[in-house]
Amino acid sequence: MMMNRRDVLKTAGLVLGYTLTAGTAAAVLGGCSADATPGWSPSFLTADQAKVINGMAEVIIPGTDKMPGAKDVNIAKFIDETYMYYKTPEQQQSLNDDFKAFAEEHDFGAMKDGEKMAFIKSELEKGSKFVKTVYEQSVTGFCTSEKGSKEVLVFDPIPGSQKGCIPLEEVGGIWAI
Amino acid sequence: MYFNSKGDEEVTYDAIVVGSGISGGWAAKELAEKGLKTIVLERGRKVEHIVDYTTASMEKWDFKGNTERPTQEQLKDYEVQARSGYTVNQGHSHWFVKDTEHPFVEVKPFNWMRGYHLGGRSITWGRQSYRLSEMDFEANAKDGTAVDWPIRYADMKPWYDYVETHIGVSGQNEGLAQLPDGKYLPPMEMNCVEQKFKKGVAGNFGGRMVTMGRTAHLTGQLSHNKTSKRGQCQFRNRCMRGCPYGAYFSSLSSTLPVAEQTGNLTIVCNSIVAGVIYDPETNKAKGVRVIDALTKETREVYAKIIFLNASAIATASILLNSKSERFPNGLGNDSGELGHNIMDHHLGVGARGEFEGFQDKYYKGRRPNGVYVPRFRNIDNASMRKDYIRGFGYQGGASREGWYKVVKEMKLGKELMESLQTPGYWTMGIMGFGECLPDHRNKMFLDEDNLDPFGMPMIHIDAEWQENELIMRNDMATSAAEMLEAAGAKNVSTYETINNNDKKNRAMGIGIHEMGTARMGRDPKTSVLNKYNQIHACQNVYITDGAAMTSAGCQNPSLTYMALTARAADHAVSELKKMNL
Ligand SMILES: Cc1cc2nc3c(=O)[nH]c(=O)nc-3n(C[C@H](O)[C@H](O)[C@H](O)COP(=O)(O)OP(=O)(O)OC[C@H]3O[C@@H](n4cnc5c(N)ncnc54)[C@H](O)[C@@H]3O)c2cc1C
Ligand code: SF4
Repeated sequence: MMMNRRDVLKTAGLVLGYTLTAGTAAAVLGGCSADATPGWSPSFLTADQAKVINGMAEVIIPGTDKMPGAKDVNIAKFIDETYMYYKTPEQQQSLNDDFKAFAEEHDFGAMKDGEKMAFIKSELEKGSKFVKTVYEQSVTGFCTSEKGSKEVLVFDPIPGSQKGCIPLEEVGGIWAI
Repeated sequence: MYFNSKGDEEVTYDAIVVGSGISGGWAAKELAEKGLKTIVLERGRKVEHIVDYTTASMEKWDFKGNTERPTQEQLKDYEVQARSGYTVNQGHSHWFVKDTEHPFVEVKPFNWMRGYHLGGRSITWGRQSYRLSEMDFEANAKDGTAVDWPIRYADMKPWYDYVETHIGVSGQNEGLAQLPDGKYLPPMEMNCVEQKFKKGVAGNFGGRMVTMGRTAHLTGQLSHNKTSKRGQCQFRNRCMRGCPYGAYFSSLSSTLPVAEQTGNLTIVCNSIVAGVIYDPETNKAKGVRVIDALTKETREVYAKIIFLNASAIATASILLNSKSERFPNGLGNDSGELGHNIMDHHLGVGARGEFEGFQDKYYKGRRPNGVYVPRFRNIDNASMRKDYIRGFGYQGGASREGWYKVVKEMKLGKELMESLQTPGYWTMGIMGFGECLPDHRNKMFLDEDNLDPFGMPMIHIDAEWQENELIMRNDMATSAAEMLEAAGAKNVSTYETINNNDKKNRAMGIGIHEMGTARMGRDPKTSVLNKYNQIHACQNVYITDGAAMTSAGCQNPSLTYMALTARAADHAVSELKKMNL
């Protein structure tokens, strides 16, 4: 396990990225999609942790009938990579500790769909460190993903011109970048 | 043409230029265009314009974890370079040296941020381009600091015109004495809140100016057609990765291609210039010693004139490492000032605030530029300060909060999806760039008993912000807040990141404008260079990078290095023609 992680770390500096597997347009429009990243398995998180995270993320960012949500982008993969490549050992440890403490008290997977939203809300209000981290990371992961950027935010890779002051409706949303 | 002797032909040129960054590119262009067989010796690797901008079109999601920020693994190699917080990341860390490979000694914390590759920091620079004014050239003489500049604005004006016309600078003429007008392409646009700020500042502070940043981007057609490598700015704001449109000035888009077209240019990369060879018979330099960065072999290259453009610290280290009987303390160091008087600009102090209103307004295009508040202190009788001399400018801008606002609002579910459809409130921040005085105590030196991986004596830097800078910063924070408040900002807060010795990352060098190590002056006893940037006692060596600066002004300095270089090259060629060199 440790060896494996180190090997991946070695290649982290490579600028070659990966491409998210885009769901078909029909799946997005239909509000359901196949697994956003088939065959993926976490490197830093455990499979169970990934499942809890994705479960929470889907409640936080449900999508709409016109817009993708967390289920279309695999938030657990984003958090997995964030902790794997960008966090210090202390930060990694702290997430694991928080996760453990959380899991000892709550079984998120076993909750009914109707309860989940209220649960996350109350945990956020209580200042639960773990839920807050998942919340922040989920929003960040979603809004920086290709789908979130292109289908929820407004994405314009090559603006071509610059305008200082225009009516908001000409943009119609938040600039992705 | 000017060969020294038959056997040395292939290593003998009319001119050697050391370094291919902002100033070296200019030296190469001017000398080659004027007909000199010119060799550029560049320490770093070769870079091909556009082709080697490998990250230029990558989106966030093309990087692991949707971010270009540096990985923990990367950070290990970039301890100093990463201190700025924005220069080292996966999008452009390949334009910065690995500190593990290119060490130097920080006697006091010093942020020496640099890149070794063809084009130097012209690829990563922020492109802000301001002229120094008469006030700046007179400053040392007037307040009795260090030594007087041997030149005045009138000497520089035609050369500022000349370089701006070639590189293309977008900006607005405002007719200010402290910030001279230039030859500008159309300015970029201020957004609604910046316009409000501009009005508020003018109205509340007796006409104090807020202007659009002046930046070396093409916002219109250049008036010349010398290089085909330039296109119009597309407002992507990914300039630091290298611009596939060649829309901002770099050596690779602007100067080196012109030099190459003359057929007079040779560029040799991986060539570390270790020293200048002094010839006691002619009292001139005859060439340079070069270490091959890959094989570590040494060789010599000869020429009639030598331009040192390795950037201020590196140029001074080459001179300090060029010892001879005539110059036992380093070439041109009769004054003992070589390596001293390191300056930078002190920044990381200012204010920010929120603006209400304009909820139905937004902007388009990622403007690679901000607004600029030209210096307003100590410029006339009414603006004199008792607590410090010189002054500062601000750079900044306003924007609307993006998607991150939903995190602050703790939105969830449907509410979150809705909230992601509208940008948040407007915020505006301005950050000061303050003048730093030349101070003999701020110095660098070499330790010959301690060699770097290439066999060069290790560079030691021993410099820190001094009293005038630190006092000025109080005003920089307070004035920023006052201006924002007067313009209607709410929740204004100031920030100050330097007056705290623990903060290595805000130590000198953080302005990335290090300069002054081989200053120009009128007297050989107190300066290294004369008014044409020649070493006083070795006149075929010209130094036209930041080392030459006698004072710093508070303006971003690179435009001045370009103008000094073009001016010095003109002088060198006319002296060569007169057989004076
Ligand atoms: C992120 C960033 C933002 C900046 N923003 C601005 C800005 O907005 N406005 C502004 O005016 N300035 C800005 N600067 C500063 C600007 O980049 C420098 O002032 C400018 O590049 C200095 O030009 P130079 O020719 O002296 O050196 P450089 O551009 O640094 O080039 C020096 C070259 O010499 C080579 N070299 C070094 N040692 C040797 C040797 N021994 N032998 C051979 N070659 C050698 C290097 O490899 C390099 O290619 C910024 C810099 C950075 C990094
Ligand atoms: S903003 Fe302009 S100069 Fe910068 S990368 Fe984009 S096109 Fe090039």
